[in-house]
Amino acid sequence: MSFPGDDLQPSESIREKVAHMAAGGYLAHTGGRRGATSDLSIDETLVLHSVGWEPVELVCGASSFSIPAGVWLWNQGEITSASYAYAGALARAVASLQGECRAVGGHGIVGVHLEVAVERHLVNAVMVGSAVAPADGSRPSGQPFASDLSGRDFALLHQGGWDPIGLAYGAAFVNAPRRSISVAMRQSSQNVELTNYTEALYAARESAMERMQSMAERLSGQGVVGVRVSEGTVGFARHAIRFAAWGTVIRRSGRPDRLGEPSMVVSLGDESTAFDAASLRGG
Amino acid sequence: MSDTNLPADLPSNLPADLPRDAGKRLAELKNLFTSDLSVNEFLLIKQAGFHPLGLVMGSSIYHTGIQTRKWSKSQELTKLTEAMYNARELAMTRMEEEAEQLDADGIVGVRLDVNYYEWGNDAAEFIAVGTAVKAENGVSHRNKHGKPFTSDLSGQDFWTLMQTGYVPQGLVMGTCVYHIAHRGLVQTLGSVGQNVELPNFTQALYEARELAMTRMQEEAERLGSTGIVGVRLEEKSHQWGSHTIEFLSIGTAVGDTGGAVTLPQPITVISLDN
Amino acid sequence: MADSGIPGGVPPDDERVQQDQVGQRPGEVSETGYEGDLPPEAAERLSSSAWSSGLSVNDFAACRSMGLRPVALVQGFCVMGWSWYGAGSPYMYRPGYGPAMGGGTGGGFGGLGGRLPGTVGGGFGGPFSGNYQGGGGYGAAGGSGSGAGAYGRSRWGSTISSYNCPHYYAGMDHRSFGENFEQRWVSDVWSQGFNTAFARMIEEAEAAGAHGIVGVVHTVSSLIDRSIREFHVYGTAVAVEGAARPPSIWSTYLAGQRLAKLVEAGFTPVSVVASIASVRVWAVCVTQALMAGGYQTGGWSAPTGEVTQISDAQMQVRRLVRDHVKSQIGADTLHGADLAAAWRDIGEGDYELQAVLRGTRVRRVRPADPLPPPKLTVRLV
Repeated sequence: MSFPGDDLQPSESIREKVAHMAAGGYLAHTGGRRGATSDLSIDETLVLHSVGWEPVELVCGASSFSIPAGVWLWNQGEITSASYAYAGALARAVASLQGECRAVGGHGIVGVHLEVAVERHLVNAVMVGSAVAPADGSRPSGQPFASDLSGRDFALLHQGGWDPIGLAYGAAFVNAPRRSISVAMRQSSQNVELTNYTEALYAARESAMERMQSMAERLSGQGVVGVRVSEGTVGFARHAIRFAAWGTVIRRSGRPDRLGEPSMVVSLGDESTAFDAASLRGG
Repeated sequence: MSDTNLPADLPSNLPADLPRDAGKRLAELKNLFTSDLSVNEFLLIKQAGFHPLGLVMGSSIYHTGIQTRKWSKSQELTKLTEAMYNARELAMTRMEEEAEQLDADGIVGVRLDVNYYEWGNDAAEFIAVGTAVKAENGVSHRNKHGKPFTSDLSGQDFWTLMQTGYVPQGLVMGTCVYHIAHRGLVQTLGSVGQNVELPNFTQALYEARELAMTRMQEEAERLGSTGIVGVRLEEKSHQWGSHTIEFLSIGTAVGDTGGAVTLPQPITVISLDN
Repeated sequence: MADSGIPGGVPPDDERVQQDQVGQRPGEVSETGYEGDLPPEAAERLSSSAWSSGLSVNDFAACRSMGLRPVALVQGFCVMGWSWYGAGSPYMYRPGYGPAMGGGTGGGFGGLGGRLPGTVGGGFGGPFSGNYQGGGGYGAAGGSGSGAGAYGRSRWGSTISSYNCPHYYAGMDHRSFGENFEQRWVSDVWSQGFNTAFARMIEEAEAAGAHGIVGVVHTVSSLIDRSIREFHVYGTAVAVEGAARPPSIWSTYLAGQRLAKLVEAGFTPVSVVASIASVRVWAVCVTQALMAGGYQTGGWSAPTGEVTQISDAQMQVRRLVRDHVKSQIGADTLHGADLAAAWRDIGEGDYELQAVLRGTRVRRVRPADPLPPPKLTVRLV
């Protein structure tokens, strides 16, 4: 991808700008019409601006849901209260994120960082992102969108005729099945598929994805991009397996595709990669 | 040990039964697609004339049997090779079945993973995940066997490949689990203080890799492919200790469409940012 | 809390400071009102003709192309006492209770007691005194109904939200009142430490004849002792050849190409900004029960669901730190914000949430000139 600013060569004029800056020229200015805060990188800010958008405010959403005692015993099937708490915490966190966005007049949130911690009795969900709005100051219509896409991805989708409309996610916690000792003994020297295990995990993964899908449908999306599937055992209950899937829901915007035919580029830098916003965040 | 036959019973023992949940999820995918492609990849896939249909996956939890190894003998452990191959094939076949259910032409961005769980002694989960795609112009891009093609190419690579007039036909792999002999006391003493080639080790590692790559090539030949791109060679000890190693060779088999190709001239850029 | 994610940030090279030479105090250079309190070694180092820089080669090259010349690696350091409510602390609630044990939370709850309705306050003295030195104060203040006045919550914090027991039940172990309050002393001490270190860095830059500081890194550590916080701010001082002495020195976490883009985009960096907020959670019975899996002593259970007091605290701490920063930047923009939060268990039903927000305060000095929108390209590596 090439982005605005990638080929930005420090020009002669920048020396003038820097000299002006050194002489304290900026002290005569009073800043913008409103103080903005954002965790976007300068590249993301530039690329957003090139499609006519700008950051408004750093916004956050958080929620904690409780998980009742006794849930983590090694039973069978899905651990529904954990799945419920997970979904609940995410839903409430998104709601407060959108609330903050509305309050500052943003049309949506890009670059949402999602942090979910599952403890024995608590699911903590925290989301932080930058609320953005068109630079022309138009009023938002409808619910603000939340998206974990970067400012670059947002601008690309925008140019390609798509709009992000929200986050979709699904999660499922399941108990690992148990094998009886006699079965385990019989199978110990064989190459054999453990079909009940396969089915249990397959089903759980499918239901996490299905929940994500039905959420996307409720948002009347046409697709979900950048889906990430995360899975693993729960630290304090190793028989419990967590599946989570999330991504950004998109829809045709009705604007024409202005991206055009891709062009191939050969980069002459050594491993030259675009600047990664994460490095600013200490990541 | 030059037997390069694939595990014989492959096509027959593959179940055509996806879990019910899978069917339900896929049936609901009508006006919506899901995809683990990044935005860049998604837009490039669209540019290449394909539309993503849905995230498809397959998985298999497989118990690997036990095979005795001779301490001082280098040999392929065919039982383990078979297990590793069958389990991956099971996962990939299920993924392909999901794709067929979506009436897809192929699957891009396939990732193959192996998970070990604490509760599953000697069992490992093999997973295959990818995005099913379909050509927007209605031309079928299925492979010679009428199955959706599979490929581990990224969206960028996929687009570039299509520009060159080649099409992906299938993800092909070969594997070989090999036990490398420990050195005997006499041998070890004999080479103390000398930095010399250890021909036994050289030969064992050489042969294991050759076996894996040959098997991969055979898979590609069965697809009638012109070649294999993006081959990766991985070595993993999994949970067998340091002298038993799986050599996995994996890549995307491609075929020539034969059409005239005009490649766009690449533009050179110097990026100052890093 | 070590923030060293900025490329080009390297630890300061203290070896270069000659400990046995006594330099001149740079007290005279201060035109900005800072006291000239740099150690003599700093002045010695800065007067050396060789410059040092924490910039990577790429950042260095980009700075040169902008006409910026690195003059010195400059730093500021400040060590602050960080005792919770110990004796002598301005936040201590009442003489005679400190230094408190177990983190010394006594003072905090003295103030809390003042918030309590007098009717239930009396019931609280007993159960907490086992855990907290200040427990007595809790009960006593509550009992008197308005006991907090003299020691004012405003001295250590202020209530943000409060939670009442829905059970109409006042047992010995029953927490029938809970609240989230901001611990102002944390942000006060933190800001003082950060700002002092920052001011010293600026002073060093002035001594070196710089116009600005790029690639700033700051760390807050606790190497010596848990009751101490060490604030360290450092960066590369740069000067513009031929430019006049600046009225003030700007600073930024950015360096190199990103700084160039920022300037090209019509912004000027003003200064690095960082702030902290701390919210203390004193859990009400329902919160406490939910955090323990839904059950409470006495056998009653709470319905599972959202733990609103915790959700509130998570939001409050982030909003507070954002407000702190916004109050510092006025109509300017905070660029490249980094928000990090941490949770700490202090005791049963007693938690602390801290959030740090940092970024570069930038000012728009000319209208943005939109660049062409992005195009699709495929990179052939």
